[in-house]
Amino acid sequence: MYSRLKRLAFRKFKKAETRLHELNYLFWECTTRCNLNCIHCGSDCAKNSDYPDMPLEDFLNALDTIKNPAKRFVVAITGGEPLLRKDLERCGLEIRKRGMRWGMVSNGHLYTPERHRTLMAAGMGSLTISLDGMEESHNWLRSAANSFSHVERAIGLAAGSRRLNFDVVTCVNNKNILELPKIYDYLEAQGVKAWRLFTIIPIGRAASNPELNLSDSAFRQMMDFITERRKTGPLDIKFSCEGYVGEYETRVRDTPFFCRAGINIGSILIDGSISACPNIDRSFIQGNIYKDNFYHVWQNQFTPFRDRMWTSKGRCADCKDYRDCQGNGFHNWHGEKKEVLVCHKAKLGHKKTASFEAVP
Amino acid sequence: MEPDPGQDRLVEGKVTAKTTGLPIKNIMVIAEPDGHGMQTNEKGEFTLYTPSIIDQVKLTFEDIDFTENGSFQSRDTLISTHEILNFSDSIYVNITMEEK
Repeated sequence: MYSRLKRLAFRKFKKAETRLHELNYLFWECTTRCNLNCIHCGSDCAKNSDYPDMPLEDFLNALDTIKNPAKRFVVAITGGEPLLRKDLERCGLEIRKRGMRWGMVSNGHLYTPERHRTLMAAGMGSLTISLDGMEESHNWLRSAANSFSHVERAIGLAAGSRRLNFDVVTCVNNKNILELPKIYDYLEAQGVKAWRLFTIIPIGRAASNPELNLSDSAFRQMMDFITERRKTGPLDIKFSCEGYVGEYETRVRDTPFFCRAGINIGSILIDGSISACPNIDRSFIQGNIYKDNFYHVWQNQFTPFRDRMWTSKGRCADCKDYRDCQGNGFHNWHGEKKEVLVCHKAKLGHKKTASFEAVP
Repeated sequence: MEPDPGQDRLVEGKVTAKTTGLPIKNIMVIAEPDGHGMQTNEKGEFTLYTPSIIDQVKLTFEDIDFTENGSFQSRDTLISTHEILNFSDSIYVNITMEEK
């Protein structure tokens, strides 16, 4: 059990990190074009292919405003699907030229041996690929009959690379929750070392799709699965940073919950908007690289991210875990922001745990 | 998830034709043993990252566009990456290729 002393120490650490406000992870939404039509798209990100890809030079101008980047500063290239950009290698090389590292988040569909070879040569250091189940359930979520085989090829290439920090992410839903043990075995057999699980935010199309949203008992089932598999290994399996999970904190992740959006994580979105994680409500945008100095905005804005007391409302107002949770993941505040969209801890209030033989 | 910058090293260079001294475009430069590579640009230049955990990297230069930018014989060369000590340092390689 997470001791009281450790809990207090971690609260102090979070305060210090918030005060320091060091930018060490920058998302770049380089395109909103995508080659897939996933059924959960629009639930946790705003895809708008009306925007042209952001010219590399525009992004570099913003990047160059960072005078003394953090020692472990990373640019995470995301989309849309970044592999649709033909100049991705040039983007990567320009980032590396500045002494910075870069990685990519991809659906893996276009990750061919040729692209792997050139991206690695361009100094790519990390890669995250989405796998949303075994063949049938993955293809269902991705709305593509051959998506699984493409992702399988991508996973094989990435897992075989010695100098790539590679992990697989899975969006857990009612279609694939029973498959978690199978997916675990599959990833292990593919040589994958790290696996991150997350759930869908119930907004957009996902809000009305019962197959996408886990019931409370299924959510606990997932927590139990992660807890058990973390004890046995060999995969480094963890729950994403999406929310505070009460009694499961420290069992499902390496460190307790700490939403670093706007604390250490920033983003440059497709239209030049400056924000934190790309799935955060656009009303929290702090500036725009086409009219503001990016680093000045990072250093002087981001107040709602750094002081989260405004989230102490609705069901968060009198929650005894508020100091550890601080309103849950920032992306859970949408619209009028009167109430947190999802309380993961409340979902775990439902004690009965389902088995992998039956889904509630 | 963070990449480890200590695990690769920058190799840059230029490929020119032996007889004319002119830069050659679209030469595929492959770094072994990993097999990662890039094509030369219009100035005959290339930039690529190779693993630093091995002492020597073999660079292979291959003409992949048939006769479009001339026709050249493949060649390779060995470089020592352990000489690059800092993350920001690089090795520069000048390569000439013989016309077929």
